[in-house]
Amino acid sequence: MLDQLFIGFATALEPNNLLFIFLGVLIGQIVGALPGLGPSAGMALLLPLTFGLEPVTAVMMLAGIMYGAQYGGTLTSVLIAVPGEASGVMTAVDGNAMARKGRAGAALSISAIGSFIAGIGSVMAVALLAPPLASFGLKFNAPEYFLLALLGILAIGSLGGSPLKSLGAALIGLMIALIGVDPLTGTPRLSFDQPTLMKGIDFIPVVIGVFGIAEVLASLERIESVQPIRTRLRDMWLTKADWMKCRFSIVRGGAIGLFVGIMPGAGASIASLLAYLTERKFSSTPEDFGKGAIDGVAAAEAANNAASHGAAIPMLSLGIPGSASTAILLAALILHGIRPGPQLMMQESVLVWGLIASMFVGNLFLLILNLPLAPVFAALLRIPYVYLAPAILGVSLVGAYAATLDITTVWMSLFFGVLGYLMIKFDVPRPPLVLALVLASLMEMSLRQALLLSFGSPMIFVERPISLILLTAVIAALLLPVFAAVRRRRDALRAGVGTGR
Amino acid sequence: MFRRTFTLGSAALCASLYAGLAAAQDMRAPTGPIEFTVGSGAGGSPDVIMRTFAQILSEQGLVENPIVVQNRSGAGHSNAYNHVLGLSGDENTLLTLASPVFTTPIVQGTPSVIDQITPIALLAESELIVLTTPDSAFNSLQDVVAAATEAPGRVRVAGGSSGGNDHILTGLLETATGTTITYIPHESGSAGRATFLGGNVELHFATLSEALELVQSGSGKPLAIFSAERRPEEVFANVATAQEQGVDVVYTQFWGVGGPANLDPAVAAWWAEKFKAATETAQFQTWLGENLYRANPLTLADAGAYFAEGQQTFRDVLTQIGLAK
Amino acid sequence: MRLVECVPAAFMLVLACGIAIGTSGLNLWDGPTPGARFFPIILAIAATAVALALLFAQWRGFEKVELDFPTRLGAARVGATILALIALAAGIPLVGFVPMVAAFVALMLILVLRQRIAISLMATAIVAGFIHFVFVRWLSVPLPMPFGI
Repeated sequence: MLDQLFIGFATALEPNNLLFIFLGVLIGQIVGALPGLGPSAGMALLLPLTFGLEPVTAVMMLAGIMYGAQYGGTLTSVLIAVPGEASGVMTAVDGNAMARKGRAGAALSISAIGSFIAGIGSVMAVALLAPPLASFGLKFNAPEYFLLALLGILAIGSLGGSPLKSLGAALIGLMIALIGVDPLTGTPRLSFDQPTLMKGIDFIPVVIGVFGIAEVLASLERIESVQPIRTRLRDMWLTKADWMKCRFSIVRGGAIGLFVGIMPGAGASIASLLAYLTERKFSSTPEDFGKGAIDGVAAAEAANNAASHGAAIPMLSLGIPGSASTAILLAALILHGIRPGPQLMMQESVLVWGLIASMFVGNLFLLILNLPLAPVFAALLRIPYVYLAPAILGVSLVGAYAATLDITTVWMSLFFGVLGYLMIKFDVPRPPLVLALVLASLMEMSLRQALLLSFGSPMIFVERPISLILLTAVIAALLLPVFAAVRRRRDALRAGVGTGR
Repeated sequence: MFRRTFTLGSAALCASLYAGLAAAQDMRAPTGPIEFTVGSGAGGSPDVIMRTFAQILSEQGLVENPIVVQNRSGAGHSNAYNHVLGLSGDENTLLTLASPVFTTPIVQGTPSVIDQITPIALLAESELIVLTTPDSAFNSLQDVVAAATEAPGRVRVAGGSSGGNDHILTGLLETATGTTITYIPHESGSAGRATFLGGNVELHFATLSEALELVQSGSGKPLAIFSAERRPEEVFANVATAQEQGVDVVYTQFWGVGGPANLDPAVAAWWAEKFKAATETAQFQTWLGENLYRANPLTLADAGAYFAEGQQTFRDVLTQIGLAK
Repeated sequence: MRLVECVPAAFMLVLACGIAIGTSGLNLWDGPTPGARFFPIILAIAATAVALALLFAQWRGFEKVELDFPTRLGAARVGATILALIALAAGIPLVGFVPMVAAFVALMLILVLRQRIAISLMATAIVAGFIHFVFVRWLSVPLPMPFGI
């Protein structure tokens, strides 16, 4: 094991490979920082860059683009609240709230550090434990995914201030996601014979609209009073107190991210959501969550980077991509004449271990690149908002188009921009809608797959051990708030206070 | 170019040679950059195939025009084919033909794509193998048929997607044996494979290169191959064809390429010539061997007839399994 | 409680109704497993329940919808921006993406946001140049460009 890792490092540290790892993470960082473009869209656009390279070098560079884009996506999430992928939604909420308080630099620094630590931890797990973790990941299937998604939706209910409104927003997201075709059979559903609707509602236009455009519209209302965000240098850097607060958030977030990442069917979005919510339970300041909690940002960013590296486990040891971005990495292998599958680690050990070693190196590059630059990027917010606003709108729409090459995406972004604006005006929280939209098809597909597997018997959710544990968690998540509400009510009555007018 | 075609002349090539000759009189290259429109995301097999062809066409100097492979993914390839259908007569865009291009219109009840586009070439075929879990009691396709006859619907297949090649094959198998098999669709082929590897189902269909990995690593046991003859490779030499096992099903997955409607026949003929030349290069043959695909270099009208036949199979099976609208 | 505060709950009810009606031709159950209509119906029921609970809570005062409506000037500005965005989307296939975004940025800055013309044009040039170099040149994204730019 160790000698293989040494060979891997020897490969990754060859000057030529080192150069391409660096180029990969740099390019990934830049592309990921474009609104609308996340790791997978960025990799798809940049795949041709790796043609003509040696397979090992190409895969290292492409992987660099992948996690580089993950780091880069944090920039748009924090600075203009437009995440590049669903896993950035939590960062877009709390990170952006921090930026508005002039703490963009701290948000970006903690994200970089959190991503680095979690990324390295994950890669270590890949190096040491890939085959056993991969077979553990296979224990998760349709019944577990359904319960996990359900747990996610219930957790979303506790995101905002009011559970009713959060659940309501989540349900709106789930209902919107129904439009298009039935994910299991492919027959048109709620598309009313419109080809545009038959394509379904993609995540990108929704997030660009509900976050990016809506935010700009709301700020334009009182543009006179929007001051450029004052960024004093001492607010830019991470303080010792910040670090003490986030140390364990990063560890917990990273562990959750890795755990979710090794399941071939659940993505980084579930990872960052669960990490964020777990962190709120542990936090000393849970009331800050949603309003700029630095430990929330640290946990969410650690989780999504850990998950994206963890997805390398099913990919390398089984040939099964756990995410859209690892699917592209696999494609690059195939294009270079390498057949991915359960034997990849044995037959192509130089490539596999080179790739693993390159992830250590690449993450280090990104940390070195991001820490000094965080305040520089944060300084972009010194540009008067009047000038930023139209630019954000224009570039976001180009980004949305580039990811799908479809003009419908632009129209959808506008529609969801107006919807998001109305949600702000009517006091409906927006993150639940976006997260639910991402979970919807996983939830529906896996429920129906589970019942196909069990020939229609719901007992499948009880008979499988992991499924039973998750089911217990779901029931607890449903009942605890009810108990809490009853107790609050009773206490209030006892105290002789009316329950409102 | 002519000389090379003639020196190659063998009896088997006669028919296509004649077509090539007839077209040779009016062949015209398109000008400007070319887009290969692919309906799958980057990394899907249609994408990999088109990128390989783009690479061979450029590297071997067959096509001077810059070629870009563009993923217009999503919605069962309809983003891609609707884009190309909207470019009637355009000389700079080609559409990748994979099974969703045939099946999505049938499932959604929209006009056939194949009947509208200009067929150019069949690019590659892939045979399919059915696997079961290593510790399964099934040792042949007959065991599967016996089990499915005894308890209809109790044999489960972890499949790629509804209406996909493995779903069609499941349907053909059901018709040929008069059984009922439960097909479980997934988000993608690899998601289906995860369900299979997790030991949740009995069967899984795989292309040869996927099957090779599963068989060699001992995570899957091959039961039958759905082609007319066995494969020569050592791993597959013992895998009997379905026909040998008394199940009359022969089915291959295929990928092709076509141009927009009303494409100038001279340009179509030029492309057909180029793709055919690409399939004759050593680079392509190596790639074919690595992926265990099969070449069947049909072009223009021959390819069109092949596609039409494929479409008929898709329509028949989708109607039978109740997906056709 | 004012009537306008019912809008979020009403929106959910309308959406739930639309889904119940829009999926009427589909199967609720399909062999051993839920059909294409099952999940939509469950969601419609859940959404109706949550919407009614929200209305009840608002009525009893447990829950408040805090409206945040803009001033007349603000509303006019948002309306103008939305119209400009619609014009932008409509013009993309006809004029091209980069020119339309440039026109959008320039008009927004000069007419809607009332900035100085020289600075506005400079900002426009920076945005258009950025999009051109990053998306068109570097990433070679085929943006619509009927006139070649």
